[in-house]
Order: sequence, then C-alpha cells, then structure tokens
Amino acid sequence: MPDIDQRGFEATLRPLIQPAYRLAYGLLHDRQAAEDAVQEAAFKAWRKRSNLRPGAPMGPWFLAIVANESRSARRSRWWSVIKLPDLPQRAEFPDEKLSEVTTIRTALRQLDHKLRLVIVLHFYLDLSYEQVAEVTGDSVEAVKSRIRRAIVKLGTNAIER
Amino acid sequence: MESSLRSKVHRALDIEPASPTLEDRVLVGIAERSSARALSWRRDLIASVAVLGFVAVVGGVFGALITHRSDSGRRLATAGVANAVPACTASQVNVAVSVERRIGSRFSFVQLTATDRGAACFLHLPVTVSLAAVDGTPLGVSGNGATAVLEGTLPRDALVAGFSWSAWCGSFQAYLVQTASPFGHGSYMFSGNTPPCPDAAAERGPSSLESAVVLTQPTSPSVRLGSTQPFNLLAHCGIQVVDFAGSFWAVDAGESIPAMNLRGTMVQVDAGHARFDYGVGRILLNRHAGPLLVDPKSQLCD
Repeated sequence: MPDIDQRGFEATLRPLIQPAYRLAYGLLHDRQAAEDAVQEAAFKAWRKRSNLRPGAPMGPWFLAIVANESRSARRSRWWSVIKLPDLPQRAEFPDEKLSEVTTIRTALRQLDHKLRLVIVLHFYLDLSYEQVAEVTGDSVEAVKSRIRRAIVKLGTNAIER
Repeated sequence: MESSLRSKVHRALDIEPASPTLEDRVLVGIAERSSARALSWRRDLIASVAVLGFVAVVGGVFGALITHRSDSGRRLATAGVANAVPACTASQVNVAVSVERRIGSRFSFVQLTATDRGAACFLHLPVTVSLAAVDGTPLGVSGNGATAVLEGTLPRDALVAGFSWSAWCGSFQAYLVQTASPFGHGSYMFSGNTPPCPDAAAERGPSSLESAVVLTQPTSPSVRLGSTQPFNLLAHCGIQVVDFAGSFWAVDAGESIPAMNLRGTMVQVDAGHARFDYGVGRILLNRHAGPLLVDPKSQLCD
C-alpha cells in the first residue's frame, strides 16, 4: 500500500471510531477501558498502516486491531462496570430492564474471547457473517459455527427470558 | 430468535455511549504521538552523531554544562506553568470510576481517575465513595463513605485515587458505588458473578473500605529477558500484583495462588508476560500498565 498521509488516514479512520468503540465496549464492558483500547488501536493502526493490503478496506483490519487490543486489556484486568444515570433519574431505568441488562452482560462475560467477539460483531455491530469473517480472519462457515456455539453457551436465559 | 437476541444485546450494551470527544481525542492522539516519536527519533539521531563526534573532553564538559542549565530552566518553567493554570471547573473534568476485582483476591479496588476535557487546569477535588445495595441501602462495610482527594494539574499529571475494599467477595452479587463531590453525584452498578473467595469467611475478617495506596512507578531493577531471578511471592497478603524487572505484573485472571508465601524464581518471558515458578507449580503474570492501587495492609506485610 502506498504510504497515505496523516490527513487521509484520519479521514478514513474517523467514521470507524464509533464502531470500534462499540466493539471494544462489547468486549470490555467499561467505557474508559474501551476508549483507551480504541485510542491505542488507532495509534497502532497508524504505525502499521503499511501492512494494509493495497485496495483493502480499512474497516475489518482496524476492527481486528481493536479486538486484539481489547483482548490484551481484558487479560490484564478483571473488572466490569455499568454506569447508570445519576440517582434522581433512576426511576427511568425500571428494575426488569436492569435485570435483563445484567443477565445479558453476565452471560456475555462468561464467553471466551473468540465467542464473545463474534457475538458482539454480529449482534451488536450488526455485521453480516461475511463481514465478521473478514475481521476474524476465519471462513464464513467457521464464523457461523462459532456464532451457533456462542448462542448455545449464552443459554436460553439470556435469549428467551 | 436472532432478532430477539440482537435487540437484547443492543439494550445491554447501549448503556454507555462513547464520550462526545472520543473521535477528536483519538485523532489528536495519533498526531501527538507521531510527532513525539519523530522527535524521539531525531533526538536519537542527534545523540548518535554527538557521540561519534565526541573527541574532546572539553566539548563533553561544555555539553554537560549546557544540559544542566537547560534542565534547570525547564524545571522552573514547568513549576511556573503549574502555578499559573486556573482551577478546573466541573465541565472541564471527567472522573471515571472503575472497580477491579481479581479472582481469588481478598481485595477489590475502587479507582477514581480524573481526565480533562480541554485546556490545562489545576484540580483539587474531594470525592466521597459509598457502597450500597442495588436499592440504595448502604452496605454494612466499615469505613463506608470514605473520601479521597484528586489533586494535580491536568492533563500533565495522572490523577488517580482509590479505595481498597477488603473481605469483599461472596457477600453481594450486585452493588452500587456512589460518588459525591462538589462537581456532582454519580451511581455505578457492578454486576456479574462474584469471583469466589479462596479462603473461608471466618478468615477474611470484617469487611472494610479504606484509602488505597497508589503506586505510580515500579522500583524494581530491570532484568534481562529470559533471566531467572530468585523471588518471594507474598501470596498470604492477598497480593495479586508484583513489582519485578522495572514493571508491575498482575496475576493472570485464570490463575489461583495458594494462600501462603511462595519462594521460587521469576522470569520475564517476553515484553508482556512473566512467570513465577515454585516447588510444585507456576503462576503466569501479565504486565500491568498505569498506576496501581494496593491495599495499605498488603504493603506492610512481609
């Protein structure tokens, strides 16, 4: 790939930052950690921009870097946080919704990285199987199989409650 | 089924959108770090040339004098800037709250991290942290409602404060961390399966919340990669982080440490990993970036 200048890189990267944050947040469940992961991944992408194949879209490549960065962050620490609105507004967040949110988040946290990654990419970033495969570097069939396994592991509590 | 799961995943994860400034911070970060690296490269080059051209002792002495003068000037200038910056306002500061719970550790840490949203400013912010049940009832934890002060110049300083919650595990499946400061109030819920405590409830003692010690710089000497060093792991204190080879290292999430002091050897395997070998086992550790919260009692025990 011919070396692209910083402005061109930034213009291509900017629309990818929000999806990247959503991916990192889906994997880490913490805003600060997710933002840190995206910032670190963006800088790594800039440094390694020559690795991107000529003509290849930056999106899947960048999301793969974000996924790796999030995995590293998750390995070093084990924590999670849900930021709620300030107390006076908590009435807007009914208990049953809180319970559902907790159930899904807990179920997601219990998945290993590879399974959680495909769930977040497919069900949260709404990527197709083909697009998920581009990010993970697997075949489409492998992605489908992994998503099926992840759904089974998430369990009926998380899906049907 | 897929659409049901999709909407539930969205609801579960849409709670915390990114900061409005994230895009700008990411792009500015790239520019700043790129120029810093370029500067560093130029410095290295200049240093190399200087070394090659260093043939006269007088030149070396002269250079050292210049360096000394320039460093002194920089320190004075920095102090001047620190004193000159205005006080931070609520809209300039973001205080992030995170909780660290290491599997098998007796301690949970509540960390407060202040970051700025704009120009440099000086912050002095007392923050009171209270632990509560999900319905808002205060938890029966000794020292609940503890206060820490975040103080320093943003964005120059890493402003981190926090608390150590000892004998925390097993009691609550979900709880709130409530913060109160002159800049506002916050309520954060921590959920999920509580990691199991390795020791019996009777051995854990009463649950308490107190200020944690913030370690910012490792003090251990650097060690050659792959070189094995004698090491004592003070596991009985509940320590899950060690200072080794000039870095902090955290016990890998999947590891469990026997509740005793372990004598063995430590080796840095690669840039991000170290390994502690003892009589009958080994413990893997990952490099811990950033400041580290430590329970004051752990610091003192040996």
